[in-house]
Amino acid sequence: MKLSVDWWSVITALGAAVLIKFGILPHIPW
Amino acid sequence: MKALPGLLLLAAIGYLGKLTEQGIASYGKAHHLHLPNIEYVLWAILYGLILANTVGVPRVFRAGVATYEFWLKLGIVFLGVRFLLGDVLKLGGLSLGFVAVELALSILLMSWLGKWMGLNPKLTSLLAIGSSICGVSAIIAAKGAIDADDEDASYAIAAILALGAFSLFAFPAIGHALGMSDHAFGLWAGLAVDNTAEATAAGALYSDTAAKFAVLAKTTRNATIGFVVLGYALYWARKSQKEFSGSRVAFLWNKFPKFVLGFLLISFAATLGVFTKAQMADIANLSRWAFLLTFAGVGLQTNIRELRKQGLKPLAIGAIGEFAIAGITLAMVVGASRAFEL
Repeated sequence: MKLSVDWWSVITALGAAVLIKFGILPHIPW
Repeated sequence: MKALPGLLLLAAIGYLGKLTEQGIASYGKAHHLHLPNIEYVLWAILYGLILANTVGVPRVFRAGVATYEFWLKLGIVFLGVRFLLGDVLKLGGLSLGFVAVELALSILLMSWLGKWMGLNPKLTSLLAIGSSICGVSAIIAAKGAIDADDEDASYAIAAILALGAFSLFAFPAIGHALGMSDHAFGLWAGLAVDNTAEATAAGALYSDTAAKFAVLAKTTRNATIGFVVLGYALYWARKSQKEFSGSRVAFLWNKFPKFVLGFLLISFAATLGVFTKAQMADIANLSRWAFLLTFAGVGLQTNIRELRKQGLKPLAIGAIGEFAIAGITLAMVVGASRAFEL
């Protein structure tokens, strides 16, 4: 099944949020 | 892999925009000047626009540049971390009422203007959908649903984007002239600017808080996309005597912008205290990086010549309608901010 851009954006964002929550992604500067 | 060159181009243009913003700020600080703070978003759009309309975008970059829609949606989902449910509830009722008024008004006004000026009815429908909900994705969704021509769809998109680009300059100036609060200005930008990226940018040009409210009002509008497109699809389906197949619920779900769900989920998690303050700042920064890519792409996708080729009537109708909507929503927001001290 091919996922739409919408779903990819949700999956990517939630994945990144989980990584941040458990301290796997380091601090992200701006 | 095909997208890599274009992604690097987006990153380079966006980062140049960020450097420009910081450069101006530090120059002003060093020389004790009060320079206006022009956010990276506008610089990124401007650099992209200039590049695309002078040297053009070579073919190798196109696949990557086209990913800007993904970055836009990703950025919005991340932005959910800045919307704690308390804020949403505080704004909820009033903002929802405004959104309903704005939707009805834009659809009626655009349909009437198109009819009055003898515009092709499908292009009129697209302009009405684009101006009432959200420029590009609504037009793309509606194009499939009502079987409109490519030319009509690209014109409607170009018209909405061009008017949105104009509003990036006009809205903050008007907001400052009227001394609008961040809250009131953001609400107005979210109601009157039709492209999600441009509405976010218009808010961000005013302040961070204004961007927050602009996105809130805008995502509420976006969430109605399924219903409005369904209405138009049924109208055109009946008109062309085509049998509308499938269930209405499935149709609505198909057209519903799913990234709104991600936005709500992140916002809900943040409200429940899932993230620490530092983690919330990290996620908010991720949304800024995603928008940096988005706005470079918006600039690169705007073709000034394409717009000129199509003649001026639809643009004129779009402009008259948009100005009227901007004026009326401004009056609503200013009136409400006097009454409720937004």
